[in-house]
Amino acid sequence: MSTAAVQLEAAAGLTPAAKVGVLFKRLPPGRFDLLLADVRQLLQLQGSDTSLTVEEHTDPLGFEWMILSGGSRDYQDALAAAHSVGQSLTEEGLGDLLLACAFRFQQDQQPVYWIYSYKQAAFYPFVPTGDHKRDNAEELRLSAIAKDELPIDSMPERWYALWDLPL
Amino acid sequence: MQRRLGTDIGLTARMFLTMFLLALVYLLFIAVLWRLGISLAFLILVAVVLLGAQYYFSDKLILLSLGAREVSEQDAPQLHEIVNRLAQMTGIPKPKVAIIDSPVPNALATGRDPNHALVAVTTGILDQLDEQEMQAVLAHELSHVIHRDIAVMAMASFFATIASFIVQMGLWGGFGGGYGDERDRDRGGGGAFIVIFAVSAAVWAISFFLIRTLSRYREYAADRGSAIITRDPSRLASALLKISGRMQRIPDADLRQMQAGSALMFFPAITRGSLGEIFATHPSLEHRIARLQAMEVQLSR
Repeated sequence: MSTAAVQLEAAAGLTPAAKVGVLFKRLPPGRFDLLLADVRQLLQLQGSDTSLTVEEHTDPLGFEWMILSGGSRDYQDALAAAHSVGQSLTEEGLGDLLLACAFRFQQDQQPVYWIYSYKQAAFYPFVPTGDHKRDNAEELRLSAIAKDELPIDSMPERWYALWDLPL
Repeated sequence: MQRRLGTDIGLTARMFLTMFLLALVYLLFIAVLWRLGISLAFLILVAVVLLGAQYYFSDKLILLSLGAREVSEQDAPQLHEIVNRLAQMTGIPKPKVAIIDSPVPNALATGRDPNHALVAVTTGILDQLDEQEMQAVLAHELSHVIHRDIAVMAMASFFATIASFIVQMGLWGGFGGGYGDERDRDRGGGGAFIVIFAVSAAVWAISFFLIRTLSRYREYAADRGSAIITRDPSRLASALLKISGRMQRIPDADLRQMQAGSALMFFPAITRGSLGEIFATHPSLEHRIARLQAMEVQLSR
């Protein structure tokens, strides 16, 4: 994702917003709090180098999100933290509980997202334009540009929306 | 940053190779017919009448056969505005505009040359696409007009029409009495019919595939034309996905809701890039999207 970000910034004017959200399926009770504690500890280890914060959010559909946000310098840290969450769950055999990871970018004041689907182990773009509408042409354009840097889900019919993302 | 697309040399080369092979098959066909003493003049007359009618009246034929009605600027101002803009950009006379009452999303262009062109769209496609996507689709159709694809395909199918005419005559009963004259008997009688029938069938079959191959190349060329006119190949890709039917389009459904109902969900196996494509007049959606994406990469550099 970090090399792709460079390419996307140059070719499509996308700037990474250092906002990453990990979306979970229903976790066992208390598991989410443990995960949060782990990530907070990880961030503490990094000390004052990072202004990355971590929050939890339950969306109206009842799904839990772990939202990592920071300044523009913290993009790499946000990626690393999201990665470690995924890894620790997978090591416990709970990888199935990971649904997706959303990476926010800015493009002309508009949010643009790259979604990582854990099930497909691939990315796809998501460009919401308002009331349950998305810009398919822009999504196809972004996927064309990022094709060499990112594993992109080759079946657009699986590029499911994530309306009203909390990041 | 300069954003431009040149000609696709590979595509042009393949297109010419196909046309060359087609011409070769036809020349062999004529040579065989001539050797066997068939009245070529009669056959060519039939083909000329059939194709000439199609060629000269194609715009009206489409209007009739598909129930398309020509619409005025008052009836469909937005559609006219897009066609007008594209015609100005490409420097061709503005084609006539028609609408077909059908929920199936489709668009087509016809007319023997840019002065007699007509573009028709279904009400289904108007419902499904936004203005920019509609513009990309109409730019594809106008590219067909600019490339004179109606004329090219009519010429390409000229001798195929003759061949199929002979095959049909053969199937209807041995070419009737008129041909069984002394000339044929001198050359070995009934054997000649079998040869003519077999050769015609072969020409018909081979040209069928070549014409379809050529047609697919013209589609790629029109996609490219649209990308050159609009400088937005992804807009056409998006339109193609939307009108491809439900299966392959980018969903509006939410990932989380898909998750909740996942027990009921299944993905049907869709055959991709299958052998079936050699029978088709249009290339598969995947191949078209892949080419449009490659053009997008070219434009972004």
